[in-house]
Order: sequence, then C-alpha cells, then structure tokens
Amino acid sequence: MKESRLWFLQFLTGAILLFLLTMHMGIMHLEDIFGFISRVSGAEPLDWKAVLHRSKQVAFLVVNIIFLGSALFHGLYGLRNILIEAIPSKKFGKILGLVITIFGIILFLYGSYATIGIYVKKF
Amino acid sequence: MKKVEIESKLINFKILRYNPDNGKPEIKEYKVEIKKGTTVLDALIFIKENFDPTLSFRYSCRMGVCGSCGMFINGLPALACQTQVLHLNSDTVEIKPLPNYEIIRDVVPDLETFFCKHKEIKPFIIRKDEKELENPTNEYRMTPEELEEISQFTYCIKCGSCLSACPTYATDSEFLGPQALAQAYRYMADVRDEGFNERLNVVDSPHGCWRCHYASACTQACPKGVDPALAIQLLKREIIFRMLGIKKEREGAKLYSPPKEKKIREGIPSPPERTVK
Repeated sequence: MKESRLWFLQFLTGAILLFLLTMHMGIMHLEDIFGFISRVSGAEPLDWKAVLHRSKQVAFLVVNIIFLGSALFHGLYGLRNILIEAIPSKKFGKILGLVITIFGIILFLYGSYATIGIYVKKF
Repeated sequence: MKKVEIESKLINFKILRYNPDNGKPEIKEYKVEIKKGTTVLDALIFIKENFDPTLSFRYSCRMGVCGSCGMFINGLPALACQTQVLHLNSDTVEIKPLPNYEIIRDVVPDLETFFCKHKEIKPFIIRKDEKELENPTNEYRMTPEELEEISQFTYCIKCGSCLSACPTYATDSEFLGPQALAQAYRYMADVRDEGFNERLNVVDSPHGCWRCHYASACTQACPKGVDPALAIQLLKREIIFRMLGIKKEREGAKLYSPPKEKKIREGIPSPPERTVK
C-alpha cells in the first residue's frame, strides 16, 4: 500500500482512538463519576453480569472491533516507522512491513474471535 | 542584526582538522585579530594564507549565493561568508564540517548523497509537450500570484545546511531530506509543471515526505529563508488531497504569446541604436 494511504489511515485511526479512548475511560474507569455501567446493567463494570450484558450488545461488538483494529493499526504502524528510521535499510523495511502486517492480522483475528465468540455463545 | 561596538578583537579559532591519509580528526587552534566586518570565511582565508596553507575548505562567491561555504560554526550550520565573526559574540569560534555528512578533509563535507537525493526528485520542469521543451516557441503563462506561491522555495542554494540540521536524517540515511523534498514541492506546485505523478513515486515512499516529523531544524538552519519544513507539510497536504480526490490533477500552464502589436506608452524614449551589428 502506498505510504500516503498508510499515513492517512494513521490519522484516521488516531482520531478514532481519541474518541473511543475517551469513551472507554469515561464508561469503564470513571464509574464513580458517571455510573454508566451500573445504570445500564445493574452491576459494577468488572462484574460478570455487567461483562456479559455489554458483550451481548451489537453496538459493543462493533465498537470493540473498530477499537481493536484502530489500536492495532495505529500502534503497529507507529512501531514500524520507528524501526525503519532506526534501521534504514530497504530490505529490512520490506521484511519488517511483512512481519508486522502478519502479526497485526493474527492479533486482529484473535481479538475479534474473542469478541464475536462471547457475543454468539449462549450462557 | 546585532550591534557590534568593538572595532577589533583577538579571536581564538578552533578548527577541526582531518586528513584521511593520516589519522583521526583533531582540533587545531589559531589566534586571529578580527576587525569589524570580518566574516568567518575571511578569517579562514587569512589562516590559510598566513598560518597553515594545508587548511581545506570550500568557498566560491563569498556573498551568500553559491552555497559552497556551509560549515558548523559555534554549534550551528551557517554560511561562513555570511557569518561575521564579531556577531558571534564569543572569544572562541569553533569551526567543524557540516554534520550528517562524511568528511572529505578538514571542514569539507562529501555532498555526493545530498546531490543524489536532489537528482532523484527531478528538479526541473516536466511537460508532456517535449517538442516545446526542446524547441521553445513561447513562454508558459505564470501570474505574479502563482509565482509568489513557490517563490521562497526557489531561493535554495543547495548549501546542505538543512540536511545537516535534520534530526531524522541523522538516524535515517535513506530519508530524502528537507532539501530534496522542498524542491520536489517547488516543482510539483509550479503551475508550469506536469510531473506531479512522476515525482510522487519518489516522495510518497517509506523514506519520503512521511518520515518528516516537523522538527523544523531545517528551517532554522537555512541561510536563505526557504522554510523546507513548510514545503514538506504543504507537500503532504497536496498528496493527501489528491489521494482523497479533493484536488484533481491539473493541466500545466498554457503557452503565452505576447501581444502582436507593441503599444508603447507616450513619453517613453526609444532605445539607443545597437553598437554591435
């Protein structure tokens, strides 16, 4: 993929992460202030009841997968950039790109599997 | 410009000396009586003529237009011919070759890679009508406003100071660098040019414009006010806009024929007769 497209995706995922991370912090970690989870599921964020409740929401599934994909791309593309600047070899750059892409795809599939799995499984 | 009160002063010059045939780089000191208005280049020429004829350095125009005398003066890249010694406000002047380059000898850097990167971006007007380029019949139309858009980027004298200041180039030798990227933008934004896509493959690459982190050290180092950092950000914007379809590929400026009838204003005298026929 052309470098400009990768760079644009970096911007896009950065914007997505800014929004989703803010939401995540507010909903999951500022329960004492906002009380969102307890109002919606009737339990604390890390209680099994609350985990199960939100994992069965389509919105949560979609947001989680977008979050996962964005975080993986943003982090791994950033790591790749740091490494190709530190080790400026065209051959190394190509191999690194391939390794990071495969690694990212594996992690994305694994993370998505976990999210989709809990959504479809009957408890 | 700093106001200099003193008329002359004894200055200690610490110059990095390096002979590739024998040994490691070392600092040699020379004391020179400097008068008001003496440049670092003047001092180096004086040292060479009076103290050490083996001292090597590049210079040519001695007026800040050729870019030959780029050096590291008291920790900053600068043109030796444009740096007045007393304006440095220091009793000691340290002169080293520009960093980020191999040293040929003393304060002479090897600018081969610098010029190779410049060549890569095709620093000339590219047109589809090659016949017109080879046998020009007219000029391409460019308004003063269109010229103003790229004007500052045309002032580059290829001194190498920007590349020596660039922190990205210090670690990533594959990086195209601020000079090449600024010149790429200079041509890609030129209304007469039709080579945007041809240069795109060079600048839109893993070690192209996207490796610039906007440190702006290049802009601070440039002795001609070029602002390569701005050029690179404008280049990134242009590439993204074209990628998203916000800006379309444009045709190059059309040929411009001057008016057939020359209307001379009243009161303008005719030119004198040619003396060479």
